[in-house]
Amino acid sequence: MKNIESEIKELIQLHNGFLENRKIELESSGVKVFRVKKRTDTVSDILGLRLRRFVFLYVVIIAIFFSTSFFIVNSLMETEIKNEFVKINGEIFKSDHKGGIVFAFNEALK
Amino acid sequence: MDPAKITEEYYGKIYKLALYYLKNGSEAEDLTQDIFFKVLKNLSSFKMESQVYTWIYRIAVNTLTNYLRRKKIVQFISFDKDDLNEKNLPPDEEKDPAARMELEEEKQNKLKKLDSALNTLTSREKGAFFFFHYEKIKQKDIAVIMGTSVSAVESLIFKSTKKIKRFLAGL
Repeated sequence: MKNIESEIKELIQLHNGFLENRKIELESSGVKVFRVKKRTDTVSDILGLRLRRFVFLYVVIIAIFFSTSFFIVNSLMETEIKNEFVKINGEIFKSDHKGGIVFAFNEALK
Repeated sequence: MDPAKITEEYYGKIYKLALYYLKNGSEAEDLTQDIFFKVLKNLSSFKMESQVYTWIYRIAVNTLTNYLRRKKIVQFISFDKDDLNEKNLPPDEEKDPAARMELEEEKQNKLKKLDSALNTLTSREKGAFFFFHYEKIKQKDIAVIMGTSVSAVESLIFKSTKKIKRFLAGL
């Protein structure tokens, strides 16, 4: 455990020295507080970021729209089919599922 | 308070903190500028209730934490594998062959090791670790900088040191 503690101390010292050197380098190069343009904010950076955000939002909105409309249409169709009655040879049948029987009966009636 | 004097005195210190958090020279320079823009803009509203350096460090920590949080979200959305999670330190040396030559290989390996250990810390733990071990700031002042209590700072320092010890012991 003591070894690790001394190792941590040594590592911190080394890292601190590295950071201190970089700090001195910056200070000796002259402090430039406000550059006109920031290096990271290039036009392509901003455009790229906005485009990615836009695409991401677009995909999310489309996905929500399609899933919602799918469920609505699906439930409407189910209700419609469930309430549909067919008459074959004088007997009335009521569809109790999503439409397979109804379509089959309709075909038989033709 | 003289803005020029404050800039001269603290610019390098804030750059050092930014470099510690971001591990990238140009990003650290940009963020240092942002921080100083905020500092100079709000200098008139600074009340002498606390020390200037704790106030500046507090602005710096908040700005850096927000920046890293935003960067993480953007990376998650854009699926970018940027250098945020790179476990190589110092990254600037990775990109700059001339600077790389300056550091001996052994030192570089040691720094990478520490960097990997630091990556296991949360942003707050990292901050507390830096102020305590690197800048030798008193816990009372670290509490002011981080906007928390002294006991919370003690806990952060303890936790971060323990995590680093465990990481290094596991290597």
